[in-house]
Amino acid sequence: MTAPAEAVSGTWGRVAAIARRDLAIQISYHFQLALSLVGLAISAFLAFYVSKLVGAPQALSDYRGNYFDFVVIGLALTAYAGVGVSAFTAQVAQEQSAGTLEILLAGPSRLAVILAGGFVVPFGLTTIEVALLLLVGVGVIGAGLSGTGLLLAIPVVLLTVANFCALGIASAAIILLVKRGDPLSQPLFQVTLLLSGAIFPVSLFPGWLQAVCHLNPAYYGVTALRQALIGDPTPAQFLTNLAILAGFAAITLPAAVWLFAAALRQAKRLGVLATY
Amino acid sequence: MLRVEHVSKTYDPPGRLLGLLVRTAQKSPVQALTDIDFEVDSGEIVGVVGPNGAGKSTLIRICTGLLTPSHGQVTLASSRSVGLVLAEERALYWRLTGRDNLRFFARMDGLAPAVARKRTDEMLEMFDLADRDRRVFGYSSGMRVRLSLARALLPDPDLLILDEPTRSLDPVASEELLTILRRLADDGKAIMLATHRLDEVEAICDRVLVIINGQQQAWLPTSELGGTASSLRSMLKAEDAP
Repeated sequence: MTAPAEAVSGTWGRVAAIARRDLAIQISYHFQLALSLVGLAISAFLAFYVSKLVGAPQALSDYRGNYFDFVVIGLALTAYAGVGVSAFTAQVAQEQSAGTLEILLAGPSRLAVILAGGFVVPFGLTTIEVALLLLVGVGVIGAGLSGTGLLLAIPVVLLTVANFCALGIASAAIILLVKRGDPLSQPLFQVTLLLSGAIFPVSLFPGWLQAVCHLNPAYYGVTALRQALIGDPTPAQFLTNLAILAGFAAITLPAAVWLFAAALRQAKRLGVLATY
Repeated sequence: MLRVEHVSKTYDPPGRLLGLLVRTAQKSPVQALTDIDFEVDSGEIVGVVGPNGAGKSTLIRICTGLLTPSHGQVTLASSRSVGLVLAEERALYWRLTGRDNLRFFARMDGLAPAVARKRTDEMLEMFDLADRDRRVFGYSSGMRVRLSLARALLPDPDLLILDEPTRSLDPVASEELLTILRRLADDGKAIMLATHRLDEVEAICDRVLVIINGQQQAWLPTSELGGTASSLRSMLKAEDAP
């Protein structure tokens, strides 16, 4: 038997291996994959006809007054938010039910690498979904999104996703212990979206609720993304929103990873790591 | 290679706050293991034998760091990772082929891409799976066990830990697997084999740890099992009876 060479793969090699594994598994469910990819694009048509119904309301005057442009951006960010929240819980639940979680945790891979690797394919597939949404929105229906704004949108999306990942990792920590029925992600996801202005402007809320919205990182993500794609912000306005998003992520991500590590310790103490 | 010193494990129910989230099998503390003390050296197979529920799987999970002991410590004198084969056939990705499973786990074990490919081919060849590379859900139970063992051997670990690997195998496949294990030990690997089949222990193990109800009943060379073997055999036979 040949002993393995000393050459080893590091963090990126493992992340890539997890991504390849997930892609192969996704492709093996090809019908489900195809349906999920086109689902978001179909919602562009839904948004288009709703926009015809509501016209050009005064509340959207800061965004060229067009509800369709406004809501397409909200849908795109919602898709990214959704994958941030759900990808980690799905990964933990699948590994537990497949019995592979223990094998992976008994090996030399670090927990953070396993979690990060499991996010690559869901994030990539969501990006394809969003690209199709924008393709339909801009190319077919005629949304007036700024092409150059797409470059500015990249850091906004990444920072917003980082914040939702924190929520997702915290949810996965709970799933590790409770197995099903995570009480954190969906309720918080719904509240977060409600208070983000993804589907309608938060200026419609009463004053006190608008103040609450400012405690929600998604609000800054949605605002900055609209500034980039359909608004006309000053650099200071845009950068302030980015800085706030980065600040939230700097606090919430390490806290979520810490929570997951704590949940793992408890699972090892209680002997529930393998149960599902 | 592996030193287990005075290890005990009590499964405590979760505290009041954690209990709102977590459901465990027990509502009061359960003493699963008490003062287990043994070691596994290079080139030997240590059989961990006992009836179902004796604490074998608990001990294996403690030895691999998947479960925290309440007392005592486990020391592994090797920088290489431990090869682990769990009792479940599930510990593979059934939607992937055997080859893809091995390549994935090889990369997770830290092997570089070219080494992972080479090692995967070697393992498929060694376990007679090279010509039957299909998705794992199409494998027989025996093929899955062989694939699990191949996966465990990918990083060429110094220590191999197996939890009832022959449980779902027919007699011929069991014998083949035991032959492979003996050969691996003769090549210098340390092997810890948990089983409730005394014939397997007597066939290939050098030393045996007998656990009953979480208590260490015996720790001795297999050749010295003597009277312990017959009483243990009756106990295990009674358990296997329909």
